[in-house]
Amino acid sequence: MSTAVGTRPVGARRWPSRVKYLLLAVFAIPWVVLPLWMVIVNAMKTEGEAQALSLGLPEKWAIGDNLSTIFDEGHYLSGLVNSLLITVPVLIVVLLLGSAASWAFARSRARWMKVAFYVTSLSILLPPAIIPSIYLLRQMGVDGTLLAYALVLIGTRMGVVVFLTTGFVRALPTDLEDAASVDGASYFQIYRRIMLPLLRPVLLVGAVMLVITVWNDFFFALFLIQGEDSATLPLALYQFASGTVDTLRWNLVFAHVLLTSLPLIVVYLFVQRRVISGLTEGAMKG
Amino acid sequence: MATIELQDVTKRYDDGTEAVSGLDLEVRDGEFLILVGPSGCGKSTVLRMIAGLEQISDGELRIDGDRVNDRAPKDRNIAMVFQNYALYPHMTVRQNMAFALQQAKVPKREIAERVEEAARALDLDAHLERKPAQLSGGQRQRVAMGRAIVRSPKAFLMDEPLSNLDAKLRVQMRAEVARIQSRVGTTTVYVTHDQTEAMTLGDRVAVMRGGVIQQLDTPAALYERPVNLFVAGFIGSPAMNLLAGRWQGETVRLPFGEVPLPAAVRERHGAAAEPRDVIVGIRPEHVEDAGLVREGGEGRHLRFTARPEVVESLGSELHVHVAVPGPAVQSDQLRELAADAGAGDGAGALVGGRSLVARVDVASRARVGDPLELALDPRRLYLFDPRDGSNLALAG
Repeated sequence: MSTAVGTRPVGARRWPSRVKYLLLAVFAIPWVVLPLWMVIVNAMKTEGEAQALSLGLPEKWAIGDNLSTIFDEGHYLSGLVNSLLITVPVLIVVLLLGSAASWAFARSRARWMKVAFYVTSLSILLPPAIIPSIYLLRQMGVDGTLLAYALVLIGTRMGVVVFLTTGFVRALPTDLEDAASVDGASYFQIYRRIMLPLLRPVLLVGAVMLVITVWNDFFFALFLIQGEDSATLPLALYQFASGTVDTLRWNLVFAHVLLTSLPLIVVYLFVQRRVISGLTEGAMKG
Repeated sequence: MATIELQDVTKRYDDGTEAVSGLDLEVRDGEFLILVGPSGCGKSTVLRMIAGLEQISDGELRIDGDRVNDRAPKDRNIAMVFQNYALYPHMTVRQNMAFALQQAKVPKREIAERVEEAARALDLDAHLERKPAQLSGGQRQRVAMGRAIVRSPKAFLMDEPLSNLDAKLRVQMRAEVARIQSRVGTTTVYVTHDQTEAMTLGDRVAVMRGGVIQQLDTPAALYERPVNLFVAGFIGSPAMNLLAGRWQGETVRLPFGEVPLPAAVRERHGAAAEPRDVIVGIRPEHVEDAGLVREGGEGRHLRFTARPEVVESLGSELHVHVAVPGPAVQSDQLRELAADAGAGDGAGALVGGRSLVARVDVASRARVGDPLELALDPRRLYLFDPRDGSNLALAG
C-alpha cells in the first residue's frame, strides 16, 4: 500500500506542487474563502457596522449579543431540535432500508427487480413532484407535520443510497452469504451480521451525503412544514431573515447561518477520519 | 455423522440447460467421498444442492434418511468449506469459528471451549484474535476447516478447498485434511479438479462428466479398471497413453507391432471374427526402457525402438516422450479431456495418440534424439470401443 502512494510512472511529468496550490488558491479565494470570511466577520459586528457588508474586522465585537438575540428571536433551539428529529431518523431509515434494498437488487436475477432498481436509481435525476406529494400526504392525514416531511425526504433520498450501494454489493462475492447461510443464519441475520458490516465503507459515504443534504434542505421544508414551531434550522433561518428584511440586520442573519452550520462542522470533525479510512478500505478490498 | 443419498437428482436452469442429470449417489456414514471431473461437469452443483444453496429440479435428496429437498441450508446441519474460504473479513478468527455456534444458540462458555479446542487442533490458537486479512493462505484455509469442524455437523462439504494454495502447501494441507477427517470421522463430500487429491484422499471417488457420474469406485479400482476412455484419461498422471489399434482374431495390432489380446477381453468377447478398430490404452509405467526389463516366465514384452523427443527427469523416475506413427485417436470423450487439459491436470496432453509417454527407471540412459528401445507390457493393455469409449474388458 505504501508503495502505491506517492509514486508515479517513470517518465510522467509532475507539475510543480506550488503551481498547483497557487491555481487552487486563485479559484478558492473568490468563491469559497471570501464569502465565508464575510459571514464570519459580519456575524461578529453590531447592526450598524454590518450594514456596510465590509470584509474588515469589527470595530466593536458583538458576537455575544448577536447570538443571544438569535436564541431569543430566531427560534434557534426549536429549529435545532426539529432538524435533529428529522435528520437522525431519516439517516437511519434510508441507510437501513436502502442497503437492504440494494442487497436484494444486486442479488436478484428477476427482471422486475432490475426495473425496480432502475426506477429507484433514476429518481435521483427526476425533479421533485411537490404537488402530488402534498396531495398524497393530505390523503394520509399527515400533511404539515414533521412526519410528512421525513417521509418525503426518505423517499427522495433513497435513490442515492441504493445507487451507491448496489454496485458495491455486486462486487462482493456471494460465497460469504452462502457460508453464513450454511452456518445457520437467516436472511435477516445475514443482513445484520454479514452485509451491514461489509457495506460500512459505502454506507459511511452515503451517510455523509445524506446528512449534508437533509440538514441543509430548504426546498421541501418550505413547502411541507407549517408554523414556526415545526421549522427546521434552514427554515427558521429563512423565517428569521425574511422577518428582518425591512431592517436588514445582516449581523444576525450571518450569526444564524454560522450557528446553523455549526452542528455539521462538529459532526464532520468527528467522523472525517473514519469516512476517509472507510473510503480507502473500500477501495482496497471492494 | 450421516448418510447422504441422492436419488435421480437433476439440476435444470431456467434456460433449460441441465447441469446434473438423473444422478444417483449414496455417501455412506463416515465416508470420504470425492467428486472429481473437469470444469463444468456439475460436481460443484451437486455439492451446492446437498448444501441447499441450489434448488433441486427433480429427484430426492436424503440426509440420514430424511428428505431435505425443501429444507433451508441452515436446517440441514452440514458445514461447508469454500474454494476461497469465505471467511467473514470483519470478524476475528475466533468470531469466524464461533459464528455458526452462536446461530445455533450454543451457550457462550461451550462456544469458547469448542473454538479453543478446534484452534488447538489446527494450530491456530495464537491467531484467534486476528482478522483473516492478517493470516497467510494456509492459515486461512485452516480457519475455514476449523469453522467447519467446530460445529460437529452431520457432514462436511468441501468445494476445492486446496486449489488456492501453492503446490507445496497443498500437499501439506492434503495430509491435514485426511488427518482431520479420519480423526472426527464425519461423512465428507469433497469436490476437486485435481485427480491426485481425488486418488489420495477418497475412500471412494465419483468421476463426473457432463452432469453424469461415469464411475464410482475406490481409487485403486478407478485406476486399474476404468469403465471408459474418459475415466481412463482423467485418472492417472501422466495420463494413460491412447493409441489407435486393430483387433483381429486373438491379436491386437499396435503402431509398433502385434500383441496377444488381453486375457480379460478374450474371456468376455472371445476372438474377433471380423477385424475391428479399437483404442488401445497403456499406462506410462507399463512402458519401460527395454534394457532394464528382465523377461519373466509369463508373457513377453513388445519391444520397439523410438527416438525420445523429450526426457523429463523427476529425480526418482524419467518421463520419456516418443512420437507414435500411424493415425490419431478420435473420440468425443478424449476431445473433452483435451479441452479441459488447459485447466491444469495434463490429462489431455497425449490425447490424439500422436505421442507416447514412458515412465522409466532413472537408470535408463534415454537421451533426446538417441534411439531407445522400449518394452511394453502387453498384459497391461486396455482396449476401448472407439464409438462409445467403453472398456471392452468390462462391457459389451
